[in-house]
Amino acid sequence: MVVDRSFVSEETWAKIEDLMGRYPDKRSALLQVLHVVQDEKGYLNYDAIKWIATLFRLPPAEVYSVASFYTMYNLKPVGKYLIQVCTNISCSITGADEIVRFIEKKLGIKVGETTPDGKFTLITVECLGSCGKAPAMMINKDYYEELTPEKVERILESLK
Amino acid sequence: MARITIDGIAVEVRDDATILEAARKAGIDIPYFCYHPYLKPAGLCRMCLVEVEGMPKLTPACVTQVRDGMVVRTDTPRVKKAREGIIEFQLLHHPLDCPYCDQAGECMLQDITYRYGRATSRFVDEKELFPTKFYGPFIVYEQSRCILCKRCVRFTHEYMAGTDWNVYFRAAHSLIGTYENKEIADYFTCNLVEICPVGAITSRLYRYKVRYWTLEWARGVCRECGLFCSLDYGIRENKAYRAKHNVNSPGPWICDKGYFGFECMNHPERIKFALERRENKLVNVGLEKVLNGITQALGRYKPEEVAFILPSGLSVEDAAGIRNFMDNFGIKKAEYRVGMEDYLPFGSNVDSLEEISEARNILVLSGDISNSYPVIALTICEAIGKGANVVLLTSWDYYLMKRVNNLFCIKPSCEDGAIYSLFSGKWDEFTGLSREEYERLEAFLQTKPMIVLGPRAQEAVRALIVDYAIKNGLKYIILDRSSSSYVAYTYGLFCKGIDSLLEEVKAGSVKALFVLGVDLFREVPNGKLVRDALGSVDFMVYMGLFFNGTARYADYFLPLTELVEEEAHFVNVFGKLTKSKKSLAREYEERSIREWLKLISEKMGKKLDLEVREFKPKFVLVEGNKKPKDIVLSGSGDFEALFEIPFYRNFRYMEGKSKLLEASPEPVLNVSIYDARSLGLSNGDYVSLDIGGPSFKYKIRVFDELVKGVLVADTGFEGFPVNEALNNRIAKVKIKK
Repeated sequence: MVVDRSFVSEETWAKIEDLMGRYPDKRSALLQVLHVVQDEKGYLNYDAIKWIATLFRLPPAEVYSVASFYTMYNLKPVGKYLIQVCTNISCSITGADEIVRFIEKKLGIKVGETTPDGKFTLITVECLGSCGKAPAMMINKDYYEELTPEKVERILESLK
Repeated sequence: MARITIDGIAVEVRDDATILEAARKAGIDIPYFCYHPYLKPAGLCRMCLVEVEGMPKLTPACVTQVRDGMVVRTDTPRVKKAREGIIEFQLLHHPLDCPYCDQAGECMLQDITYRYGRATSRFVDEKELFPTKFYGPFIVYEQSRCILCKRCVRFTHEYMAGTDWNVYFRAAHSLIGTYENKEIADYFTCNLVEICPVGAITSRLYRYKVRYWTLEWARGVCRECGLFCSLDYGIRENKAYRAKHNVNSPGPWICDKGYFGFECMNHPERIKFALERRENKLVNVGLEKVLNGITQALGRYKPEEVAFILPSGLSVEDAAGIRNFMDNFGIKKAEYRVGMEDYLPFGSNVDSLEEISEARNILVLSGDISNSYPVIALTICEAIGKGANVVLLTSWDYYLMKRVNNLFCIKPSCEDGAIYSLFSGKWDEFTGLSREEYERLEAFLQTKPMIVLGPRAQEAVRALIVDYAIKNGLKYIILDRSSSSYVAYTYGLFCKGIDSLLEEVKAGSVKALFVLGVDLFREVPNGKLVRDALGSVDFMVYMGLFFNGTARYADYFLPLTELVEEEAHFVNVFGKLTKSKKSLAREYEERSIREWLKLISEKMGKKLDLEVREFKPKFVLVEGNKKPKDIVLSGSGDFEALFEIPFYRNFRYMEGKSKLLEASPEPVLNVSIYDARSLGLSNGDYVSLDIGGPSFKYKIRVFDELVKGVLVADTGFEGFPVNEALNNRIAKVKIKK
């Protein structure tokens, strides 16, 4: 089977090679390779899934099964900033719903949507593990805690 | 051995047995959904929770191994409450649509709920229901009824590794299905229906036709390949609606050909009257007139001017009847090898499918095993799942090529040469194998693998392999395209090959032909010769179920019986006998081959003895070391094309199996990834294939494993006479976009 290396950048390819060399069973690197490819492409579409499947010599259905199981893989395009607001119990008690409504109003989108300029995508998630400093949200890979609408406004302004 | 006590019953089992297996042995019912005797335990459904003395929590019986002195209880209030809880959860979102669900009556969820569940549910909210999904021509998936036992997914993983079938998303949103394609039709799709314990996966052929409990089951035999799987046919009001494999089958699984293939029995276009040619039409003139006509015509020919062409899937009784008929009238010529290959020698020293699945090393040669003997291909895949090393040397095998550990793919015209060079110990660069590949194969041969040889191989190659295997103490199975070889060879029903027989017909030295259930235009690769021969044949009797290209040339058409309409015995590739019972009443004039021959023989004043007192299969002896015949390729062009009938068209009485045909709606041309790139072709494009003269329109499928410069083209389509432009399976061709 031929793996087309030009599908990813050289930098990503180097990371993939490193990851796949770390385990006795290549397949163990699947989750991390999905992350690396997602970091470059933004989301995992059919082409990406198929390419990874060829790389691991797995059926694409198997790779998609893994990618769709975890919520941290995006199967649809997302904006430059992916805003994940926790709505689990601790955050809800401390006002997560208010935060979600505020962001919706501020960006003019609903939960699950992307702004027309492709900058922000808003989703709600289960526990981010930051209950002690609830409410919390995650923008791409950064945590923002003890949120208030004012704080969220400042954060969003800084990203625009 | 371990001794354990279940509900006070002492039972002794293997040390590695599970509690569930022990309970089955003790005769105690533990309910389960996800457990299956032929799948690895998964512990998913939690239905089999039992109480084990000394364990604080309930434990799943299907994954817990027994321990000597273990005391298990399945009848305590705790277990009862746990079972009720599991059932209640399973039914939370279940649509409870049993009144129109096809599984009703054979549904494990129904049975277990009835026995162990609560009569009411405490869930008052609205149920979450999902739309019905149709995955191709065979399978319907009702997500709402799915209990996520993953039996189907585990089956595809363990036996059909690499199939486009899996479970996606998670928890309440879990969805089972295909990903790459909208359809699943992967040779063994029917097993997904059979393995599903509830009504989530059901068969489209059976959908809304009949209730399960109104069916009566008749024991029959599938005649599609030389395994002759024993199947039960579900009959209601003299019509078949279902097929199911039974314990007499050689293996636990069957293929789509067997599962959906009974359709031809009920097909509306099936001919059930004896017909006579009047000018250019076959008409029903009454049985007596037909028999008179045939006997009068036969009287005109000398015995050496009469010949028989026999179908695959011939029963012992029919073969004996044909032999006696030929002896009665001194007829010498008969041929069962219609696929053009030599077929001799054949046979195996393997006794069962289990032996294949237990093999550690398997060398699979030539092709197309998955097409001609699907269940053997599945068993080879099972062996791969169990850790066997399988090496495949072939030019084309759609199913196995994607799944084996080591693939050596070569050009179709080099296949015989490469195998011959491997077993005669001399590397030959013209076979397309590099020195290094050859050495790897030779090293593998030293591990004493089991050899499976596919039907495309020539006589010289077969002889050499049998010779080699016997000398070196290897296990081997040699497969034929025709499944009749054991009986036909034992009764001497063969001459010099279909090619020379048709040449004789063409030259006029054979004037009368009996063609029994074979569509020569489809099965014989040399279509030109078939057309010439049938065009010049003086008198022809065609026996079959349907009108087809060959029947068009017939002077008389005699309707045959099929499957459970006659009693018959078959001998499979392992030399074992299977029996089909007569369970369907005949409606009109349909008869078996032997009964027709008896009528004709008696009309001509000779009694025909139909009783088979004993049957001893003869085996073919190896004759010397011949060189394989060179394959001369006709036509011109850059590509070498192999013409094969696709899986979903490669069966007896194709005309009457419309459900199976839906999986192969149009001719496909398989192109290697290299050629696809250089020609700028992708999946689904249409090209025309130029075979020196006429050209044919094909749909492209890019097949990664194929060798550069090789095409594999489908034949066997109605109104698509590729065969008639060819004189062999392999030819040189050109592609036009």
